[in-house]
Amino acid sequence: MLSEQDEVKYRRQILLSEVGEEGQRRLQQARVLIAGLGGLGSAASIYLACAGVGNIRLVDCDTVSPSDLNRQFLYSEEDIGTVKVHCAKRRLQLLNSKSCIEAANDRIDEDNVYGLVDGCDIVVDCLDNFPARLALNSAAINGRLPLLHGAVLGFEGRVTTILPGKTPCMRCLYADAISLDEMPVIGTTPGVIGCIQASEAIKYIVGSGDLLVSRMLVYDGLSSRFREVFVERDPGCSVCQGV
Amino acid sequence: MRNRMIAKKETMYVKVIIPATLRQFTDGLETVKITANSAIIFNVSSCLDTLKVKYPELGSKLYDKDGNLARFVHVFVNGRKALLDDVLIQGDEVLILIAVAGG
Repeated sequence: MLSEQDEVKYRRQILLSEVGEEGQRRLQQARVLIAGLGGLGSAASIYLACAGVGNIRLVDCDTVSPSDLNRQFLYSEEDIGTVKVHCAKRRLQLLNSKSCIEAANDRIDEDNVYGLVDGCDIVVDCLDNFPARLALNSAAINGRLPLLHGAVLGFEGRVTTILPGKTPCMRCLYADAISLDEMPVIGTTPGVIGCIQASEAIKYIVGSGDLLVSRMLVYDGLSSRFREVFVERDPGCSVCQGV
Repeated sequence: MRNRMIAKKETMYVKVIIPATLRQFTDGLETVKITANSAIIFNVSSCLDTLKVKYPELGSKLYDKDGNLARFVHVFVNGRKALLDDVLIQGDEVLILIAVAGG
């Protein structure tokens, strides 16, 4: 049963037949891990908090630096030098005071990732490096958790929803990713992709719409085009084979 | 006139979509038309080779120092993952996708 306050606050989305009161209850009960609170994570976390997700676990290991501020709108100039997850938690709590928000100031690796995803229903991959993404992928596949993958560079981004046992996982998709010491990016790119990740999470939680399963949306900000490619499982995948 | 018409019929083209990040190496072009003699088998590999000749700087980004396609480069034809020896036909759309990991 939604409180009167929540019925007012979330009225605009409750009005949608795809959400309704039942969907809103599901959002409030959902437990979402957001891995990475940079450009992608800023957009994804804000919209998930706004949507009323009841339990959010934030994971990041960085502090706010000046060069983050062209895209990481969770933070402001006053936050330079502060731990990102603590700052993010404060901001998100202002948007959703009822959400239980955990902040883990951790660098994701193979040793800690299984503990970090434990107890979550869905994982949003907003990380900024390939090894950590692969570790997160392994934990999600092992835990049979949906993994909402998003990644960006410059004016281009990618997003796809990984359902263990049904769709390709990260290992199926990529042997490697381009690696740069300093990643050029315009803020709108992770903004677009992070929003789509949040949208996918909401749709999964409320059980509506068509997810980006076995499809990858390729965003081209230079031409303002979206393209879609079909992606398939690798039958010999070292991570998801047999799942 | 007749010979010119026959030559025209034997030429085919495919459209290559260049990733936004690499468009600086194709003079800003999003799509590059690659033509080929339709009498010869034309595949993804030969398409990329033609592209590399046309835009050498782009080629240096797509291939590693051993001359192999870099591990982060993927090719899709008409929206489906393609291999280097997949044959291309008239009008195919070839999308070059680089795996990115920024967040």
